Amino acid sequence: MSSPAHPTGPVASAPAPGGDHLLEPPLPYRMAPRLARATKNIQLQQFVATATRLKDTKRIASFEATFGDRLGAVRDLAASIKQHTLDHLDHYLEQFIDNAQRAGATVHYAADAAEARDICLRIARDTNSTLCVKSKSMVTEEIRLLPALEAAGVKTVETDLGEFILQLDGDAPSHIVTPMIHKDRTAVARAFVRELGAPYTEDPAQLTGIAREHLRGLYRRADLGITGANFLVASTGSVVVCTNEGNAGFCISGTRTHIVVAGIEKLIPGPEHLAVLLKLLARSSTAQPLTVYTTLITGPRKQHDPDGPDQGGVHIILLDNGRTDLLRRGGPGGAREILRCIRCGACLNACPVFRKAGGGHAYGAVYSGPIGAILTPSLKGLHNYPDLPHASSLCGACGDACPVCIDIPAHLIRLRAEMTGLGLPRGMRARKAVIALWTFLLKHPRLYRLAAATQRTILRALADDGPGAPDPMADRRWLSALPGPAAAWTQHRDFPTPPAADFRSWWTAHERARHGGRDS
Amino acid sequence: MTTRADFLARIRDALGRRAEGTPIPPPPTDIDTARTVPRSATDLPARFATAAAAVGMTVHRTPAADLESCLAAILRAAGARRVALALTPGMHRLAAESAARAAGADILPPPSSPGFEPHYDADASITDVAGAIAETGSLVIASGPHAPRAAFLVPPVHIAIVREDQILPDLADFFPTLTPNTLPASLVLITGPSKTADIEGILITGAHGPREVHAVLTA
Repeated sequence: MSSPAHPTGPVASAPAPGGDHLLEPPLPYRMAPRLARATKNIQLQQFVATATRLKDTKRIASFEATFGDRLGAVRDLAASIKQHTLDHLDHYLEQFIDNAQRAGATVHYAADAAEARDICLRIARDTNSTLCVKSKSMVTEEIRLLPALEAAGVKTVETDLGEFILQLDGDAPSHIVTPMIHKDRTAVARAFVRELGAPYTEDPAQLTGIAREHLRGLYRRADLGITGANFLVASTGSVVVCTNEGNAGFCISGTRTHIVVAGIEKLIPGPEHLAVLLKLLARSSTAQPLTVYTTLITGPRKQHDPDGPDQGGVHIILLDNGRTDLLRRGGPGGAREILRCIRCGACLNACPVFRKAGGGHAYGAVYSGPIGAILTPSLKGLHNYPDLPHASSLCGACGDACPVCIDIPAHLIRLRAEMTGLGLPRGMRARKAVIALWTFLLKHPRLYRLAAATQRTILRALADDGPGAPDPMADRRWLSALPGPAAAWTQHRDFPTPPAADFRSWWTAHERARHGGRDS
Repeated sequence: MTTRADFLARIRDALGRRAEGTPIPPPPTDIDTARTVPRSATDLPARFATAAAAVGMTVHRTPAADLESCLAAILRAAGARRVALALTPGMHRLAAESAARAAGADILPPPSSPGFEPHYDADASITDVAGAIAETGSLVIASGPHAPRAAFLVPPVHIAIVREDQILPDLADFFPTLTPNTLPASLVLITGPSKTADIEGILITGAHGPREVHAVLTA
C-alpha cells in the first residue's frame, strides 16, 4: 500500500498506557462500543483485511502445493496426536516433568495467573535480575506478566518487533501471530522518534534496523530471558520455541536465566510428532515451510558449552489457569478439543467478522478471532464474555482453516445453547419472546395470515425506497430507517419490504393460470 | 503453593482417572502420512538447494578441494573483517581458518566467560551443522563445546558448511532420531535468514539475527 507523505492521525483508538484495558476490560465485556468504533474506521478495516486476506490466500496455496489431496489426512493425524495427548495429559505431563528435571531444568506449577506471576517474580528476585528481555508469547499476555515484572522493578522489554512497537506505544496486540496488523509504518515512525530519539523514517527496512540496534544494546545487558513455548515434548523434556526474527534466541540463550511459561495443552508425546505438527504450524500461520528458527531446548548449558543459561538457570512454569475445566469436558464435541489449538492464527485470517471488527481488540481478551470466541468464554466464564459466541456468522471458514480440526462453528453453537440455558445475555429474553410469538402465530393460521397482511401493508406504506430506485423485477420496496431496536439493521443497510402479494395468493394465481382455469 | 502432586491430581480428576499409572494406548505413529520427500530420494543436495533458496538462503556447491576458496569468496563479498569460527577440529576448521586468512579477516578469540559477548564484534561466522533437511532447506545446529549458540545468531552473516551426506530427506526422517541421551542443550533448525513482516506485512530480512545465511554444500 502507498504511504502518506506526512504522518496522519492514529489509526486505532488512543490506548491507555500499557494497553491493559484492551485485553483486560471491565467484566462483563460487551463488544458493541469497540465494534461501533471499528466499523466506522475504514482505514483500520483495510489494514486488517489486507493483512489477513493475503495470509489466508498464501496458506491455502502452500498447503495445496505441499500436501495436495492428502491435506485432510495430515490434519486428521495432527488432530489425533493433540487429542491423544490431552486425553492422557496426566501421563505425558509426568513424563515431561521427569525428563525436563533429568536434563537439569526446574519445573514449577501454577494453578492460576497470580501464582505464575509470583513464581516469575521469585525467580527474578532470587537471581538478582534487573533487565528482562522477553520474546512474544500469548500466555505471558494471558497472565499479565510484564506489568507485574515492571512493578517489581525488573525492567522488561518486548523484543519481537511488533510487540516492541506496541510496548513503546502503550498498545496491545490485535492478532495472536502478527500482533501489529492494526498499525501502519507512520505509527512506527512516530513511536521511534518519540521514544527512541530516532530520525524520522517510514522505510520498513530502516525501522527494523533501528529496533535491531536498540535491542542489541539491551540483549548485551539483560540477565533474564522469558519466552513461551510452542510445544513441550514429553519423552525428552524439551521445550520447542518457533520464531522468525531471531529475538527468541537472545532470550533463550543469551541470558543467565531463562524462564519458559507454557500452558499444559502444549504437551506432545515425542519428538517424532513434531514432524507432523511443525509442518502444519508455520504453513498455517505464514505459509512458511518452517519458522526461521525452530529451537529445541533441553535443560541448561552443558558443562563445556560456551553459552546458554547457567546450571539451574532454566525454569519451566506449567500453567493451568482454567485449562483443566476444559479438560474435564471430554467426549465428542466437548470443550476439551479446544485445547488442541496450536495458536497458528489461521482461523483469525480466514474470518470475515475478524476483518470487519478491525482485528483482535474488539474481542476484549488476549485470544481473539474465532478461536478466542470459544476459548475466552471457556477460560474466563460465559457470563463475562456473553457476546463472543455470537461474533460469528457461522460461515465455517474458521473450521475449514483449523490445522488440528477444531470444529469451531460447533463450539460457537454449543456455547450459544449453554448461554440460553443460563438465561444470558439479556437480549436473549427479547429473542425468546419473539420466537414464542412466532410459534403462537404458526399454530393459528388465520391469525398468521392476518398478521402477515398487516405487517406487509405497514412496511410498504412506510417504504421510502431509500437512495436507489425500486427494483422493478422484484416488486420490493426499501426502508432506509426502521424505528426502535430494528434501527440497528438500517444503520448499515436498507431493509427490503415484502412483495405486494404473499406467497399463498401468488401460488393460487399461479396454479390457476397453469391449469388454464379448467377445474376451477 | 501448588505442588506437583496437587497439580497432577487436578488434571487426573478432570480426566476422570482413578489413579496414576493407568495404562494408556500408544500415541499415533503413522508419521509418514505427513512425509513430502520420499525416504528413497536420491537427489537430496539438489532438493535441499531448491528449498533453501526458496526461504532466502544462498546455496553454494563446491568440491572439498575448493572449500577454502569458496569460503574466502563469501567472506570477501561480505566485507568481513572479524570472523567467528564454530567448528570442531578437522578439515572444515582448517579450511575456514585458511579462508579467513586469505580474505584478510581476523578470527575472533573463543569466549573468555560464558555468554554471547565476543560475537557482537563479528562480521561473519562459519559453523558446522549437525544435519540438514532437504524438504524444508533447514540447517540443523546443535550446541556443544565448539558450537556456541551465538555463532549462528549474532553475526550479520552466517556461513554453514554442510556435507552432502548429512542431508536427510524429510522432517519425518529427522525428529524420530532424537532421544534424551543424544539431545544437546540447544538444537536449532534454521530455515532462512532472520525475518520480520511486522510492519505492514512487508518482508524484511535481518531482523535480530543474520541478514545473510550461506549454505556451503560439499562432498
